[in-house]
Amino acid sequence: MRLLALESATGAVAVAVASEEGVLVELTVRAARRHLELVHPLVAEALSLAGITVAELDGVAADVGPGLFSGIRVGVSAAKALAAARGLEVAGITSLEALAHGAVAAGAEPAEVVPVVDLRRGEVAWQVGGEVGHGPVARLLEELAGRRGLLFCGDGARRYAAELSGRAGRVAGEALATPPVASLSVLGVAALCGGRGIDPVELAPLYLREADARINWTTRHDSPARRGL
Amino acid sequence: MIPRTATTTSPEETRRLGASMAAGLEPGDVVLLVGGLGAGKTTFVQGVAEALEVTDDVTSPTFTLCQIYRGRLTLLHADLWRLERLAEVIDLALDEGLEEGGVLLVEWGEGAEPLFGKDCLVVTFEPGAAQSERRVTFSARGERFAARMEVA
Amino acid sequence: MGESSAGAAFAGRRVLALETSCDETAAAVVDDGHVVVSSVVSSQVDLHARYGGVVPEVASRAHTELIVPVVTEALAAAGLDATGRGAGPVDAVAATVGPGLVGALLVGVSAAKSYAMAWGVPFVGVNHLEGHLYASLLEDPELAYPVVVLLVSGGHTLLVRMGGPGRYAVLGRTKDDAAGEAFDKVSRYLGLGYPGGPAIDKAAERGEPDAVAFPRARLPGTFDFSFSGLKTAVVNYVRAHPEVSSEDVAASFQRAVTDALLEKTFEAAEATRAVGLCLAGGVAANSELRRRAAEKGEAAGLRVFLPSRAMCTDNAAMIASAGYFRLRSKGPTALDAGAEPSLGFNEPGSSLSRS
Repeated sequence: MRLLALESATGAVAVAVASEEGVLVELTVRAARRHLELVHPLVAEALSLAGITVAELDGVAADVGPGLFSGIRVGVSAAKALAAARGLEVAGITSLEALAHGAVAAGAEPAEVVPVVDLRRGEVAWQVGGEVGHGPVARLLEELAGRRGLLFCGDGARRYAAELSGRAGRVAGEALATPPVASLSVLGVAALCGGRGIDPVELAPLYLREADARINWTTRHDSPARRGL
Repeated sequence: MIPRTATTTSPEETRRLGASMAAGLEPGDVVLLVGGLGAGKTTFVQGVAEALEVTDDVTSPTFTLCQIYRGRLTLLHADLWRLERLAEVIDLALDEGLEEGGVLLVEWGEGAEPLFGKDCLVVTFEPGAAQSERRVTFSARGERFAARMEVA
Repeated sequence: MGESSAGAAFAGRRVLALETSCDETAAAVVDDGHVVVSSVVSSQVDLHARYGGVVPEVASRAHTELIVPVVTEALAAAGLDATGRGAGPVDAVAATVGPGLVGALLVGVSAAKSYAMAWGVPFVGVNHLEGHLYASLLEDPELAYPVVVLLVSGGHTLLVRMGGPGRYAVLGRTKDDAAGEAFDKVSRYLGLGYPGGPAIDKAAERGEPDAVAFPRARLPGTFDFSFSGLKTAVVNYVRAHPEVSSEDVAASFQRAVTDALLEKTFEAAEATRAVGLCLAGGVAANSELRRRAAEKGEAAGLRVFLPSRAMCTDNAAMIASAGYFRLRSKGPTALDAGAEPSLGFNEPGSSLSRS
C-alpha cells in the first residue's frame, strides 16, 4: 500500500507519501494561502523523493475539513481527480482527527486531547470524546465543564488561547497548530487497509454550519409591478 | 468622519459620496449596501474603488458573485442578488478573502447580515422625491465603525 | 499565467477540458481543436440519477462534488476509459483559470492538474473569454477572418476583433452592467421570473417594442456599452406607470438593448474592416438579437455567424478548443499556476492579459 496524502485545510500546504511501514516522505510549506499553486508541484516532488511514480500509488487521502474553504476545495478536488484518473480509492480524514492523532503521536494521552479548528466569525469546531461539535468557544467550554488537564490543539485553540488555557488545560505549540500531514497519511493508510476507502466521487468537504436558512430579502422584490411599488 | 445621512442628486454625486467614505476605510472593514434595483450601489462602489486607487473598471459583480480589485487596499466587491440561501453566502467564504487585508463591500447586503451584521457599516439607498435623488443612510453596527461616525 | 519552460510543440490531438468559472460544472473532449467528441454540462445531465448522492444546490460547493462525475461522463461519452492504466485517454487537459469566482475556478484547475499529472500529459490554463471566442470556430471551421465577436452573457459584454486563432483586440466593453444581467434584473423586476433571458424574449413576443422610448446609452468615440442607466430607466418608468403591461416594457427594453449592442457591433465591424460577425455568450440565444443581427448583416454584406444555443452558454468544448490552440502556440501551463479571478482581455492587439 503506497498512499499519497494531501493536507490543505489551513493556510499551510503539505503532502506525504506513506505505507503500512510508516511515512516515507513529508513536505510542508507554511506560506499562507497558496494551495492551488503548491499542491501539485509538492505532489510531484514527494513522489520523486519517495522514488515512485503516480502510477504506483494505491490510494489517496485528503483532509476534508473543517477549515479553510478555499484550501479544502483545492485539496479535495486534487485528491478526487487523481484517484479517479488512476482508478484508486480515497480516504477522507477530518482535520480534527488528524490533529488529535498528531497530538497523541507527540506523546499526549488520547483522553486529554481536544482538537479545535477555527471556523471564523467567532466560531470553532471541536471533537470531544469522538463527538464533533461547533459553535462559539464559550459553548465548547460549557461542554467541557469541570474537566481538567486537557491539551487543546489546532488553529482554533491558538486563536482562543486566552479563553482555553487555564483551569481546563493548556494549548499545544505551533507544531500542532495545523493538522500534521504525517498523521493524515497514517490515518489514510489505516482507513484504506481497514476497508474504509471510498469511491472518489463520494469524497466531499466537511461543512459544519448552522441550519440552512433562506435569505430574508427586503429590497429584492420579485414582482414590484404587482405590489404597486 | 462618516456622515449619518446624505442626499445625492446624480450618479456622479453618489460616486463622490462613495469616494469620501472610502477615505476612512481600514483593512478588515465590511460594508453592506442595501437598496433596490438602480438605487446606486454599484455607482457608490465605483467611487470607493477610485478612492482606493483601483485602476480597473469596476463593473457589476452580480454574475461572478465576488470580484477582487487591487488598489491601496484590496477591494472585495460582492453581490448577493442571485442567491437565495444563507448557505450560498457562507460558501463564498468572503471572510477568508477579508483575512488577507482587504475591505469587503456587499451589494444586496441584507443577505449577509447574519454573517457580518454585528460588526459592519450598513449603507442604505432609498429613492428621493425627484427621480435622480437618493437618500443615503449610514449606520454603524458594533464597535468597529462607531468611533468613525459623525456625531448626530 | 505561468508558462512552462518546455517549449516543445504540442503534437497531440485530443484535449479534455474542465470549466468551473461560474455556475456550471462542465467537461468536454475535443479532437484536433474543432471536433467536439463529447460535451457535458452539469445542469443538462441527470447526474444525481446516474451517480447517486446528493447534488448540492450551492454552485461553488457543487463544483467540488460534480467535477469527477462530469469528467467521467464526458470521457465515457467519448468512448474513453477514465481509469485506464498505462497511456492516458487524452493528450492534454485544459481548464478555465479565469475570469470567474475564485472558489469555483480553483476546483476545475486543481482537478485538471491532477488528471494531467495522473496521465502524464500537459496541463493548459485557458481564459474563459477566449473560450467563448472559439465557440464559433467549433461550429464553423471554415470561419473567415477577421471577424468581430460580440460576447454577451450574464457576466460579460465585450466586443472583440479576432484576426485568427490567438489574435484578438478588445474594441469595447460594458462600463457597468453586463447585457445578460440587465435582462435578468428587469425580468425579475417585472415579475417575469429568473433567469430573465428566455422570459423577456417570450414576453416581448406579445409586446410592442415602440411602446416605451427607453434611452440607448451611446458612449461617443468608443465601442463601449452601458446598461445601468437603461435598467434604472425601466425601474423609474414602471414606478411612474404601474398600469403599463409587462409585455410592452419587455419588448421595449429588449429593443433598446439590441439596438445598443448591434449599433456598436456593426460600427466596429466596419471600422476594423471585418468580413464577418459572430455572436457568443448566453445573450446570443436571444431571438430578437439573432434575427436583427442576421438582417443587418445581410444589408451590410457581412457574414453573420449565430452559434447554437448549447455553444452560446458556458460549456467546456470551447475551453478545449482554446486550450488546443494555446498548447500549439504557447505550450503547456506550469503546475504551479494559480487561478486568475480577474483575468482580463485587455491590451488591444495582444492576446491574454491580467486586468
